[in-house]
Amino acid sequence: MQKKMSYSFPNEVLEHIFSFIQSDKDRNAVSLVCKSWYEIERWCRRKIFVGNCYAVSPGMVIRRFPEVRSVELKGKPHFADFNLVPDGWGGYVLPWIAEMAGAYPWLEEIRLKRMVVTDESLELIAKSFKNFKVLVLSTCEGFSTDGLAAIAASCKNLRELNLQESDVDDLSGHWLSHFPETYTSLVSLNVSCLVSDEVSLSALERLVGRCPNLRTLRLNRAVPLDKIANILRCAPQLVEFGTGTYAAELRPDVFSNVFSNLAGAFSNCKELRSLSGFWDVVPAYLPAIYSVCSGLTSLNLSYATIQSPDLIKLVSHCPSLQRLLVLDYIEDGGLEALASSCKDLQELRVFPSDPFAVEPNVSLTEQGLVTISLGCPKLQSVLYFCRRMSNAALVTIAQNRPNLTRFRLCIIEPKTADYLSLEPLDVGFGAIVEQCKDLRRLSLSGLLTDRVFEYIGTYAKKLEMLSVAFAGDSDLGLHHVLSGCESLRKLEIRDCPFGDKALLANAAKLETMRSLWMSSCSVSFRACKLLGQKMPRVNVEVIEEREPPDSRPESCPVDKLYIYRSVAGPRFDMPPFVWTMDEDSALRLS
Amino acid sequence: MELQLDLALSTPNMIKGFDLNNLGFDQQKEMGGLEDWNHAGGCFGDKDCLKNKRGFEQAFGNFTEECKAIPLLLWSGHPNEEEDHKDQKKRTSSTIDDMNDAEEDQVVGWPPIKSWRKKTIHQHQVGRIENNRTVEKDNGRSIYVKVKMEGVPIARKIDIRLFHSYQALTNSLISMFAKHQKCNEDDYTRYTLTYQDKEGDWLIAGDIPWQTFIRSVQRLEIVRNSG
Repeated sequence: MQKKMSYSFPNEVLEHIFSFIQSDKDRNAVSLVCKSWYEIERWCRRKIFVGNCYAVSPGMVIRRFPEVRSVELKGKPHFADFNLVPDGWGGYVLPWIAEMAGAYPWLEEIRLKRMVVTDESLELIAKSFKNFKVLVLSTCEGFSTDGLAAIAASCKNLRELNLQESDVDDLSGHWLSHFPETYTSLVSLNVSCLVSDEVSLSALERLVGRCPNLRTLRLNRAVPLDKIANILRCAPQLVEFGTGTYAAELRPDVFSNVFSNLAGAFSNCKELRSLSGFWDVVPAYLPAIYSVCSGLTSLNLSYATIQSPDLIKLVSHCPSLQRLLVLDYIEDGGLEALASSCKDLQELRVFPSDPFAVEPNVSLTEQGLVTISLGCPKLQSVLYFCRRMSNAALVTIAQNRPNLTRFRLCIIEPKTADYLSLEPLDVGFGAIVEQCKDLRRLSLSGLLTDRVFEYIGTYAKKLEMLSVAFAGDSDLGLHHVLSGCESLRKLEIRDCPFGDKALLANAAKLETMRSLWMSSCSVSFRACKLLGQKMPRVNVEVIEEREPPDSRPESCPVDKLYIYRSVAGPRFDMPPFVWTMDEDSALRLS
Repeated sequence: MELQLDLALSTPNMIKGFDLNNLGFDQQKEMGGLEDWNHAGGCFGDKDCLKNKRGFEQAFGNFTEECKAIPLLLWSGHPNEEEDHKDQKKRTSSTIDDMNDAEEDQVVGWPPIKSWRKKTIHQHQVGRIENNRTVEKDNGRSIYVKVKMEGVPIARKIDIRLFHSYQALTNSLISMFAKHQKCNEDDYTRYTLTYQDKEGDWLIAGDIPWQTFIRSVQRLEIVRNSG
């Protein structure tokens, strides 16, 4: 009976069926059914996602999946965004490119996040992949516009080039001009992070003009406002657009010219759904976009240093808004207006305009977030910087919005208590995790004891990523999280009194997670060595910039600790300030 | 302490091992309260302090002499006025290095804002005159300047490049601060506009040509006339 089953489904049929299965989780499940399914699946998997580039080696990936067309890799830990990971830590993409150059000649897509990319890597990409289509470099560094020129010159089928917030050495060369005149396939271009003052406007206009499929164009700050109209007229089919500097002179003769030109150009763009950029906004020019506002679903005003009245006017023109990024200039009043105008709002991010000021410079409090939680029934994702919070507000938010999936609250001053009751904010965050049963991502702040972790361990069963800073009293806090959060993949902790006990007692948990980061905590060097010794499939890396960890007593805490599961063993590209705790080193150092 | 990995694989009974009353170390000492930070106070002039951000060592005093206990800076306050001016001078060229200098006074990586965004905020907060090339080309880049009015707690930031004369600037400032001051138009004769130049000196605005002024101004302050 079983033999008949395997003959009745030729490989080609199975392959065809598998081609409808896109998600990694499902594909992984398929490959575990039986040996023949494993074989068939591995030959037809086209997309690979590697959440930690050190969890597996390029060779292992290539050996198992020989026909890949799309690769996504992530490098540094998330806290690298906040300068907690020293320069030179790692995350180099070159070894991957070098191996894929030989193994995947038909590779089409490379997406990288927090990796070090060099011009050499970019040149290798340009040379090696004849059908290369998509390059996304998100929060990457290490390359210059020379590398981009190589991509532009060689990749005839390039569709997407996205430099999202990368740190690029902008040599102000005319890299854009390296796209040949015959090149017309651009669909998406995001160069908003380029910092040079120079931009080749004519090359940009010509490029935009000859690419009829261009849907996304995000310009950088150097592109002046009075040139935007020309660019938009070349591409009225744009769906997503990012301006450069949104400022021009206010002298009446200049203003009326620039404004009417701009307004006219925007009104031609009937497909526009997303706007961003808005550096240095001069409010008088904002009404130029009013004609497209009713269709906007996404608006990034997080660089727009305009005051609440102007923000209110703008958002009240955007009833279809689903995603808003904005500075805290919006204030509680602006959030109230947002709550009444934008009933489709799903994601809100409020950034601080003056994060290092001790006194508030704007009137934005917990009240704004409460109002949004009440007025926006579809709200799922929140990132909110503020200076005060109360348990009552958090409980209200939780009760209003049990459909929250991402909740990141940053009360700017660490260890700030509930401003009304002066108590810790344990109960408030406890309500969040208890009510929001699908919560996947949570960032804590304010005064917090071990109790909040007890709530998290008890209720946050779907939580995948947790960020903790200046919180907790003892190892019990960490223990609650490691033992209770069944879905936890990423845990990042800084400046908390968590030490050896909880970590060692929950060592097995570490193999079920992608990574654990702990900095300025109380984990001893001895515990790190022990973990490294006992857990061969987990890499334990100690980061010490001042002096080697073994030059002090074992009981001394390590400065930074990064633990991640890996089937590739310890890495070999570590800088001098990173020590790996593997079986050998544990013996050597003790 | 023993590593009990086999026990670690099953979770439910682990809570037993963690009796809050019997954790084996002094919990009082472990709980860094606010008092510890007030002791930490200021460490402004001490370069070693700035380099080592292990503030919690002092609070969670488990650690022996080998571990340097460096108090955490600046929980209790922002640099005072003088410090502020000194830092402002350092920030005239907005390279990342200078920015990191200013931020060594703060906790590293807190608040959690991406470097990319911090760069932009930083450029908004002080006069942004990046390098000579930019100024000479006069390509219309913004120059953001902080404006403070005596008696008004909240400072503002304006883009000096949007104005073409002292008159235009003053008019705009009057309307901006009128919201906060609730005084009559007449009262404005009682105020003087002053500015801090590149050398750090405070001068009365209006004496030098406008174009020279905008290249030199770092901050503005509206002060009450005496008498």
